[in-house]
Amino acid sequence: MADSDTARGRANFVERRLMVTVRIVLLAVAMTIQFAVHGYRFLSGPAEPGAEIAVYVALAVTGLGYGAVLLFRPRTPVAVRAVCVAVLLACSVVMSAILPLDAVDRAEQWSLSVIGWYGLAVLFGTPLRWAVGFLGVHALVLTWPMLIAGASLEDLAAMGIVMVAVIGFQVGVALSARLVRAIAAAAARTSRAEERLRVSEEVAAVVARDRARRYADLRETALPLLAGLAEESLDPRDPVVRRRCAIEAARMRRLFSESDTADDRLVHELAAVIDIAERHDTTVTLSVRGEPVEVPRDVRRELLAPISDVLVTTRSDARVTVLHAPDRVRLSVRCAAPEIGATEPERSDIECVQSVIEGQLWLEVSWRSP
Amino acid sequence: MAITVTVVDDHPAIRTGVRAWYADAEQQIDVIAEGAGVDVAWTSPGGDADVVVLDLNVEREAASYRSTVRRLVDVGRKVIVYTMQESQDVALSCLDLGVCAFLTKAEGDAHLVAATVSVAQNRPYLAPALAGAIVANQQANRPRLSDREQEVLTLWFQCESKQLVADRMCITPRTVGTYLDRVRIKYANVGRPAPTKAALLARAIQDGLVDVDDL
Repeated sequence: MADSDTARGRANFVERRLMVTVRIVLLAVAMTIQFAVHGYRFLSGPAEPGAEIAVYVALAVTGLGYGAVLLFRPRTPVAVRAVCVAVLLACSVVMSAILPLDAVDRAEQWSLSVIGWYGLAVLFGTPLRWAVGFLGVHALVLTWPMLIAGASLEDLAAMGIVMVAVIGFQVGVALSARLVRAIAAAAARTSRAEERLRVSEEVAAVVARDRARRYADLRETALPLLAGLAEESLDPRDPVVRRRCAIEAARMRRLFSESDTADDRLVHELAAVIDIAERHDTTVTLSVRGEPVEVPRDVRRELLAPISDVLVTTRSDARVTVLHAPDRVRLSVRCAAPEIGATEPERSDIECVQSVIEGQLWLEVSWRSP
Repeated sequence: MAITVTVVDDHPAIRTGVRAWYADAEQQIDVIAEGAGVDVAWTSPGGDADVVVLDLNVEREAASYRSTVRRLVDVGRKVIVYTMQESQDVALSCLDLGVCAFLTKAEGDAHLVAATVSVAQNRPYLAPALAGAIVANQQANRPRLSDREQEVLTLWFQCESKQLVADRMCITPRTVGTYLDRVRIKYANVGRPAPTKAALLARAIQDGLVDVDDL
């Protein structure tokens, strides 16, 4: 659950950054068209009507203002966007009012594409209907006076051809937002996979270091013992020597059998207990079922204590089971009843049930996770 | 009437042991064919045996047991999987494929003969290792089990004795058996359809173990 939340968070983060970049690019396109392509005409050409210059300045201010907000607040507030859209539509209305009722003049004038590009820069990444709706309204505002004046079909067609070329291209760019989203998702997936790889490499390195340390410990205890046996300075008949051998052998076995994916600590520790029991000639069959759940160390110790007591003191074969349920862990042992009783768990959240019938002991310890 | 069995296991010692258990059984059980490969279950005389006792390791690759089991089950052969595999996933996947019984080698001496007799009669048999796998099953399509059924399965998995389960739950060993049979029938009623599952269900209805309406 948490993992998928982080995954979604990461995908959102990548998507947001990509969207901001695309918006900046679109803004740059709009400004280039406004200043580089049409700016020269405003400076050098014959004087434009005052209203048109006002629209030009309003668009420039809107573009620069929005660009500044975008750079400092990548999560542009909705209010800022709403103001920008309102200014842009107002510019569209003003332009529509002052332009002559001529199809070609209207379609080819500078504000058609500039307002469209600014609108895209502001609305890119919001639901597609906003950007498409904005472009539609913009086109309609420019066409409206012609419709009212009863323009001929030829005029409207001439205007439509140019408008479809300009606005249609911008709609296509708006559609590419979906593509950007898909790219963002793919990028997020890749970065997640890379991170997993890095984590697993790190874990492997830690495990390797830990193991190297314990092999070093082994050298300090096991090597003198082996050397002593080889030099015959230690007597294998001496019970103390034999116990030392047993302990070292158990340590080595645990070390060799440890795997990197030992995610079931409980069974891992149980295996160590079974090791010792088998040293006393007890054959133990172990069955583990269910997905391992996290069991705190103190609980593990208390769960294993009674099982361990029984296994190391019984003189018969034993059956040990571990059952992991989502909210409960149940351990059980069945064997010939040993003479010494098992430790009773002290924790109140650990339950221990045992019965002895015809010399057979059956003991269950269970823990319910909070 | 004698029950006929084909034993497929790559280890001769296991095949000899299984023969010996069947020879000691009260009911007459004849091993009419045995071998290290599954071909003995398809060719005469092993092709006519009532029950196939199958070790999953007979195929070279770990995953290919599925197709081996599926081919046998799909022609209506009654298969008892008898394996070293302690894995819960393998047990559940065999059950879904439609094997009649699933036993691990650790529980062979106590359960193989009884399982063979039950399976030959299309009656359910649920050994402890499989009971443990069922009670731990978290797959989405698993049958719904009552708390009581879960408890019986858990205790049966732990102690392998119907008498001990009965004592702890204050019921009779017979009732313990009925609970286990019902759970087994529930599993025959889900997942991939197989002729063996249908036969098991039909027999359970005849025996009055389940009601047609319960299915």
